[in-house]
Amino acid sequence: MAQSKPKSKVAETREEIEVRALLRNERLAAWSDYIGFVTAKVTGAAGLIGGTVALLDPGVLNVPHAPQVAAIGAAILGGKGLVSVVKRLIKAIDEQ
Amino acid sequence: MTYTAFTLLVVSVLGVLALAARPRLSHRSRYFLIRIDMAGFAASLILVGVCFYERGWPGAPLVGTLAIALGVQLLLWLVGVRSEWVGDRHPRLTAPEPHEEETTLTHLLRIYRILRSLREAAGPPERRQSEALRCLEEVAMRLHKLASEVDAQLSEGIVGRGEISSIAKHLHEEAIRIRLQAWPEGPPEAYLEQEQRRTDLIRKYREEAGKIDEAIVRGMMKYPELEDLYLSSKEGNPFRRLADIASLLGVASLPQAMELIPEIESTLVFLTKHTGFLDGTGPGKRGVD
Repeated sequence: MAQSKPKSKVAETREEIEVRALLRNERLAAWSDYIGFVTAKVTGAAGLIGGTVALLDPGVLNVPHAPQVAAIGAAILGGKGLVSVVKRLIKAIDEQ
Repeated sequence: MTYTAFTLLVVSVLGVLALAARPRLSHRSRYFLIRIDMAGFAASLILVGVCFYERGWPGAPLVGTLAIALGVQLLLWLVGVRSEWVGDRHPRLTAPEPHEEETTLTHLLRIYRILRSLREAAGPPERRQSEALRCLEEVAMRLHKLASEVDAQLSEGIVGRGEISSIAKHLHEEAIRIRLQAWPEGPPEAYLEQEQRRTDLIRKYREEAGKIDEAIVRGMMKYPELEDLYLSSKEGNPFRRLADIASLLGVASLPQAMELIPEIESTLVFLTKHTGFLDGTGPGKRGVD
């Protein structure tokens, strides 16, 4: 029966440290991503909803330059989509 | 103005279609043309937005502002500004820890090295008979390709840190899976004996590779400007070469590693003489290239 060779304590510890560092980096990066994502989406959604409501019925919500606020909100909310499409297009043409 | 804006819009759309039709162009030409074309598209969006305002077309405040904002976002992305607001994140501009993505890439390389050393440890090609080892080799090659793609995408700014970390985690899990698949009950006796003979020599040059890796990271942390130098892919850049050697050492077979030793020595002497960071003696002459 084949038997696995026991790892040295140093190698084991080193591997554990590497895995821990990897997981830690991933957690930090994920949090950073989540915070950036939520901030962008909340601001975009607030601008779009606020601007649209003010545009449709200024009596309900009084926002100065409502159309511009709605447009900027839509751009923040959906601009990334346009950029992603362009990015994919560039990548596809690059890889031809 | 209106004529210019719409002409630019039509020309840029036609340009994309023409490039997508696979013309006989070199990769470099396509690379520049598609980017110039997209910059034209972004500029035309901004101009169309301005036209809405200038001509007083209906919905100008809404449609015009939207077109201008999208055009600006696209232009910013094309010139390399990355954030959650304008497109995919860019590790170089948004990373709170400037060396984090480098460390993650180092992890990728380390995982790949583990795979390669597993493959090497299986012995010469004629002994690699079992299905498990062939599978191991195939997946190792696939992972190598993936790691190279990730590296290329990172330098292009296409993937963010979160994505890199996820890929690193995925690779790590894959490595564990492959190891289990290759030796479900642990490595065979023959492998253990062979490994014992190789361990000392392999450990020796692996340690050297690790030292070089550490020295590069330590040097870059001490002198941030070295990071830019390291990241620039200038031909003959000693930092880049050193990192390449470190990577090669991590994956090379023993004879290949031995061939690299003179080059390692000369590069180390060069760097120590010019920067002093490898032996920790201080800044020395920083403008190395």
